[in-house]
Amino acid sequence: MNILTLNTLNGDKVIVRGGNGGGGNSGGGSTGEDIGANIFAPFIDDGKTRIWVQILQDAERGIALNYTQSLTNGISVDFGDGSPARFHTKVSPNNCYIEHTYEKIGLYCITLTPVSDSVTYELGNRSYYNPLMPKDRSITLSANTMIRVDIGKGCVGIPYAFVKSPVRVVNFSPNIQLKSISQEAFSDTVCPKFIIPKTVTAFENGCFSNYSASSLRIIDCASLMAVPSLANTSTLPSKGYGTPYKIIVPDALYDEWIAATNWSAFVNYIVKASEYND
Amino acid sequence: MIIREFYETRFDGVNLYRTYSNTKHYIKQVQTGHIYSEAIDVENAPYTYVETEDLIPEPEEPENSEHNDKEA
Repeated sequence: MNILTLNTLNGDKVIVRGGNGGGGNSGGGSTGEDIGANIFAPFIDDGKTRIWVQILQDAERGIALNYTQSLTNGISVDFGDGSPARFHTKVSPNNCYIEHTYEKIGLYCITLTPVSDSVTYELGNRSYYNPLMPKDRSITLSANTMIRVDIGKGCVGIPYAFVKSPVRVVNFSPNIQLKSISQEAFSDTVCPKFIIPKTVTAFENGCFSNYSASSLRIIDCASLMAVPSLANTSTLPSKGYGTPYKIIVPDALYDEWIAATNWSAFVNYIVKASEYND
Repeated sequence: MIIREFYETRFDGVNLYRTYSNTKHYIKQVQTGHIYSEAIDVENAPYTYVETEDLIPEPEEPENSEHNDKEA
């Protein structure tokens, strides 16, 4: 079995085991053209959403994928183990819930591909479900199960997408249509840094609430064109949540930002992009 | 009823005020239309608020929810 290390943005390391899983996408760290085989691959803005999962034990081979879609059969789901692509007939707001069982433990890349550019979708759903869950609801997936998520341009919402999840790396397409950081999207996760897409105009209720102590380092809003609305002060971690984090904002918006509703309570965390040194 | 109360004084001396509904409804910022469950504003912010008809939901716990659209 290969054992590799993924360096995260805050210097932490995630151990990635591969090499004995089933299908073509196991063996983490290989350098072929198949992006699914390489958790270290650069982000590719091809419209697809990719979720890298590490199945560490037999009890976790059964998983369930949650999303919503704007069109019946609008999303092709490839679980990355050579099994046929799956589709779902439900249309938003109804939830698409697809169960899958891997034959072997290992590293896999789940790929969601919209069948056309007009198809939009949300990862997770508004009933408090991650995109990736155990099929057996009586167990909890291991801490390193969902390691990295690259979110494609067709994604318009991430409700509850990463609440209490172990994801370490989240990348957004530069062409994503995301208008808000959805409710509870990153609540109580361990990912240290988020680069907020430029299209975002709202931080919904609780999107960064109860953030794991000392995990969060950076919420990078430097590309935003206007100050987004902030649902309430519980949406962001504040006093008493371990190591202080920084909210990086465009220099030109700094004065407006620290005077904006609810952001005004986070002046200690807000810094101008030009004054932030990582 | 809309309640407005002193929240805190920031390190830079700016006073902040908290606005919320005492009946746990969302509030609407009249000037922008934005909806909040609470609003912290600087002392001289030009905003006024009205209650909406929507109640702020209690937090859900995933363990108590069930899928309705399950498809294997």
